[in-house]
Amino acid sequence: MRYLPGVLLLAALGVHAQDRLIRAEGKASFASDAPLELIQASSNELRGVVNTEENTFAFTIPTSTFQGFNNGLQREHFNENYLESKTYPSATFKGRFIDPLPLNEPGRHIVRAKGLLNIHGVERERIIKCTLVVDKSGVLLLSDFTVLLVDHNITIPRVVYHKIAEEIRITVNLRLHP
Amino acid sequence: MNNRLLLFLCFLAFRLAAQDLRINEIPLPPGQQEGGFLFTDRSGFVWLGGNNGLYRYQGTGYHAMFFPTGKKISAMFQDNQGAIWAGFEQGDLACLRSDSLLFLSEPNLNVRITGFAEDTLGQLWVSTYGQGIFVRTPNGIWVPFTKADGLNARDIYWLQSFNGLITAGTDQGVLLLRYRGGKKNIARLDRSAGLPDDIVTAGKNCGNHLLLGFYESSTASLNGDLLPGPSLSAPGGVSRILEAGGLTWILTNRGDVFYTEDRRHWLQVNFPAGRGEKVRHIASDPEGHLWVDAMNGLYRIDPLFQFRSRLPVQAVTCGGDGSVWFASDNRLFHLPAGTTEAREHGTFGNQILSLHRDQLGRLWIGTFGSGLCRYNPENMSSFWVREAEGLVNNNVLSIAESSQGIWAGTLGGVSFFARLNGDYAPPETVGGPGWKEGLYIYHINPAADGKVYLATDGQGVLCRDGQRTVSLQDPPNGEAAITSVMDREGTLWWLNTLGQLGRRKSNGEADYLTLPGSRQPSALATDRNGMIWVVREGGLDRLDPSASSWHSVNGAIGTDRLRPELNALATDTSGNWWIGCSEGLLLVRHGALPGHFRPATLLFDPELFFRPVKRLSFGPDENHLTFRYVGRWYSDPYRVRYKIMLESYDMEWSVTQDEEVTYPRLPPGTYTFRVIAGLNGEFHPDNEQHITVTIGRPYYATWWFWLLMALSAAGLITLYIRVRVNNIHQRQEREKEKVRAQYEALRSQVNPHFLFNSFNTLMGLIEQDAKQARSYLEKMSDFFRSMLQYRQTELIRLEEELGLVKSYLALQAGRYGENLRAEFRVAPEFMDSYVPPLTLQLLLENAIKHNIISRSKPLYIEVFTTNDRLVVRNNLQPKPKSEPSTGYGLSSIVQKYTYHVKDPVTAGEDGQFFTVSLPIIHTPPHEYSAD
Repeated sequence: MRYLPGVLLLAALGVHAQDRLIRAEGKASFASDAPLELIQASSNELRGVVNTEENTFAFTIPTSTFQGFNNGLQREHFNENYLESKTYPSATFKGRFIDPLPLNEPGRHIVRAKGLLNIHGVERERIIKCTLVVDKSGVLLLSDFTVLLVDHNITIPRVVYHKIAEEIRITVNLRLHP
Repeated sequence: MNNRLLLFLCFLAFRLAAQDLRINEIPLPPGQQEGGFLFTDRSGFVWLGGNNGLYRYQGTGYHAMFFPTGKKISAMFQDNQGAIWAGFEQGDLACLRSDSLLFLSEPNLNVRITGFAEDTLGQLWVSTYGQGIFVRTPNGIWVPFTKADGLNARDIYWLQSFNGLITAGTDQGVLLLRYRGGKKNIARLDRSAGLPDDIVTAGKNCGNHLLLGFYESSTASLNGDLLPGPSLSAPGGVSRILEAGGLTWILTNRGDVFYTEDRRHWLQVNFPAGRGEKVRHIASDPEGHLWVDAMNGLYRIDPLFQFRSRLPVQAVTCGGDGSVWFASDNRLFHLPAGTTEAREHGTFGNQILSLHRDQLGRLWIGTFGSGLCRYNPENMSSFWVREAEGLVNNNVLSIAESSQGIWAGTLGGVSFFARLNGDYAPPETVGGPGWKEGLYIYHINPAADGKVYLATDGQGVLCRDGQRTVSLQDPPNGEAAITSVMDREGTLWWLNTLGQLGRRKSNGEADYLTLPGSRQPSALATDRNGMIWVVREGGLDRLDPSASSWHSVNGAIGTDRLRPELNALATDTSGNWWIGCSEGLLLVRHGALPGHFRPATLLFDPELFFRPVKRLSFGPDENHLTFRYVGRWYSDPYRVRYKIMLESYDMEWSVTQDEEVTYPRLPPGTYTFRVIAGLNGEFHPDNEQHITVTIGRPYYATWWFWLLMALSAAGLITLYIRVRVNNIHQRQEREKEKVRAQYEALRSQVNPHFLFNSFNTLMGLIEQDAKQARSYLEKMSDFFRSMLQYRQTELIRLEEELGLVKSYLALQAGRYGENLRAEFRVAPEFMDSYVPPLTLQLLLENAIKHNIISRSKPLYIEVFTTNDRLVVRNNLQPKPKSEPSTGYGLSSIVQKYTYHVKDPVTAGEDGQFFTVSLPIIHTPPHEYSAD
C-alpha cells in the first residue's frame, strides 16, 4: 500500500526503462502566515520519480498525512473543508525540468521544474525554481514556492479570513536515490 | 491691455481629484460577461475574443462574428493579404471570411494555439503550447518542426516575425526559425547570448527592435542585428509586453499592468476596480492607446495626455535629468524622473509666474511682484534678485537661457544675467538702439539663429541681435505678441492677442494665419516633424506648414475645458511637453500621436431591404440598398464625420454623421458607393473605401427582349395578313358565286322559253278572258318583282320563298294546267326558317325542265318538311331529250347551303322519285358575319 503512489506514478510516466528512473522521497511543509494566526504543518509522505533521460518528474503527497497543526480542529478543517481530502486525496506535481540535471557535479545548482501542480483537484501550470544539492552524502532537491488559494478554488470562510493567508508558502525537501 | 493680462495671470482654477492615467471603461458586447483576448488589426480596429464570438470594437459599438460556444480564442493574426486568423485554446485554427469563421481541418491540433506569424515568403507559421511549431507551405501543406529538426521545446509562448526571421519564445531562449526550399533552420538565443533568462514568456516586434519579457521578472530587447540590449528588471514575471503611446507596457503573471517612461522605472496602472483587478490581456492601437481586458471589464488607457498633478500650474520647467519642476500659486514642486508623486520645495513670493532650470541645476523662479529667486535644490538655499538689486521690474513673466546667459522678461523690460566664470553675473538692463523703455515682455525666445526674440505688448515681436533691437513688424502695428517659436526651417512663428498666428520666413516674408478655432491661445511649440503646435483653450492645434493644413486635438485630452496658462510649456529630455493648466500639469506625449488624424474607414457588405447580402449585383426589383460604414477614431468617436457619394446617382459628395445611408429606389445601372471618414472637416482621399454594385435591367428593357418582341410582332402580322388575304379570297369567291347565281337566276327568269310560253299563255288569255289575263299579268309582274327584290339577299324566310314559288307555279299553270301538280306540306313551325332565295323555285324549275309533263304523265311535285329537313320530290319521268343543262342549278344550291349549315344537301333518284333534301336553316341571316 505504501508504494502504491510510486507504482501509479511509474505507470503515469509510461516509461519502461527503469534504470533511467530515480526514486525520490522527502518532506513537504506549508505555512500560512495570516495576520492573526500562523499555521504550519508538514508531511513525510512526499514520493516521486525523476526520469533522467526525458528530464521529466512526478511527485505526489497524500494530503491527509499532514501533521503539526495548532490543534486537532484545525487539522480537521484542513482535511474536510479546505482541501477536501476525501474527494481529492493527494496533491501532485508532474512535468519536466527546463534545465539539465547535473546529478554528478557536486555543488548547488538552480534548476527549474515546469509542470502541472494539482491541489484540491485544480491543475495549474507552474514553473518552480529548485535547488539541487549534490554532495558525497547524496542528492537533495530543495524548493520553496507559494500557492495562491484562489488559483486552486480553495475558499476560506469570511469568519476565519484573518486566520488563513491568501498565499500559502510551501517548502519541499526531497532526497533523490540515483 | 494691462488689466486683461493681470486678470489672465491671476486666474485660479478649481482643484480636481488626483488621477494619473486616464482609464476609460469600455462596455462589453451585449451578452458577454467577460472578454478573454484582445487583438488589433492593420486598420487599427480592436477585436475582443469572447466566449461565443469575435467582436470588433468600432468606437460606438461592436460588430460580432460568432463561433461555437465553448471555444476560447488564444491567438489572432492578420496576414499580409489582410486575412484574419484565429487560434483557439482547444487547438482549432480558423480564418475569417466575410464575417464568418472558417475552421481548418489541418493541422489537427489539440493544444493551445499561442501565436501566428508570416515570413517573407508569405508562409504562415503557427505556434502551440505543447506541440511545437508548424509552417504552412504555399501549397497548403503544414510542416511540423520536431525534435529531429532541433526544436527541443514543445511549449511555445509566442511567435513574431522579426527582421526576416520567425522568432519564438520558449523555455530554452528565443528561437530563430526559417523554412525555405524544404530546409528548416533553427538558431537559438539564450542566457549565453546575453539574455537575462531562458524562459522568454513575452515577445513583440516593435519595428526596429524586438521586445522580450522573461519569466524571471525582467525585460530586454533585441535590435536589428539580434543583439540584446540592456535588460531591465520587471516587477514580476512578464506574460505580455508591447509598446503603446511611446511607452513600454508589461502584463505580469499576476495580472498587473506596469509601464515605463524612461526604461528605468516601472509605474503600476491602478484600475477603477482596485487591487483585486486581474488583467488577462493587453493590446495597443495606432492612436497610442493601451487596451486592457481585465476580470472586471474592458479598459482603454490613453497615455498620450496625462495629468501629473491636479493643482493649477502657472509655470513649468524641465531638468536635464528628466525631472520636472512646476509651480502652483506660490508653491514650487519637483517631480523626479520616473515618478508620479511631486515633492514640494517651499513657497516663493506671492505667486510664481515663470521657472527656469539653468545648466548648473539651479532654479530661477520669476514671481509676481517679488522679483526673481535663484534656488539651489541641493541645499535648498534661495538668493533673491529684486528691483533693489538691479532687476528691471519685480514681475518676472518669462525666463530663458541663451548661450550668453539668462534673460528675464518682466512687466518693465528685460534683465540679462551674463554667464561669467561658470556662474552668472548680476543683472544688466537691456537697452540700446531701437529699444523702448518700460515694455511688457511676455515671452523670451533664444532661437537657434543666435538671436533672441521677445514677445512684447505693443511692439509685437522684437528681435535682439547683439546690442541692436529690431521690430519684426515694419511699420510697427502695435500688436501684443504672446509668444514665439522658431521652427527647423528658420521660420519664426508668433501668437498675438488677436488670436492670429504670425509667420516670418528666414527671407523676411511675413504674414498672418488665422487659427482654426476662436479659442484663446496661450503657447507655441514645434515638434521633430516640423509641425507647429498651438496650445489653446480646450486643446491643441497642429499646423503642417508645408500643406497649410490644421489638425485639432480636442476630446482626446479628456476634457473640453482645458485652460492652459500663458507660456507654461516645457519640453523634457524625452521630447514630451509639460503644460501648466488651471486643471493641473498636463503631460503631452505628442511624439506618439498619429502622424495624421485620419479615422480608418470601414465599409460593410451592402444591405438589401435592410438585410446584409454577400453579393454585388442585384435584380431590377432589388433596388433598396443600404450602405453601412464606420470610421475608427477611438479617441473621439463621436467627432467622426463621413463624406459619402453614390457615384452615378448622387450629383455630389455629402457630409454626414450617420453611419449608414439608404437608397430606396435605385434605377437599373452600375453604381460605386464611396465613403471617407474624417475629423474636423478633413477628408483625405487615402481614407476612401468604395464598393461597386450593379442593379440589373428589367427584362422589358433588355435588347434581347425587344428583338423577341419585334420578331413575334412580325410573325403575328404575317399570320394576320395571310388569314386576311385568305378571307378576302373566300369572300371574293362567294361574291362571284352570288353574282353568278343572280345572273343564272335572272337568266333563268328571262329564259326565252319561259317568257315565250308565258306570253303565249297571256295572249291566249287576253282573247278568252280579259279579266284572267290581267290577273295572269299581275302574277307575272309579282314574280319578277320578287325576283328582283330577293336577288341581293342571302337568305329569305321559307314563307316568302313559298309565296314566290306559288307565284311561279301559277305562271306555269297557264301552260301545263292540270298536268303539273304541286303539293305543299310545310309544318307551320318551319315557316320562320330560312332558305337561300329562289332555291325552291330553282328546284321546281329543274323538275319542270327535265321531266315529261303531259296529260297521261302528269308531274307531281311535293314540297314538305320532315323533322329537320325541307324536301322537294317529284316523280321521275325524264324527257328523252333533255333541255341543255347549264350545269349550274343544283350544284349552286349545294354551294350556297355549305355557307350556312353543316348538314349537306342530298339529292338523288330511286327510279320512281327524284328527291332533293335540304337542311333547315334556323339562324336568321343577320347573325352571320359578313365573312
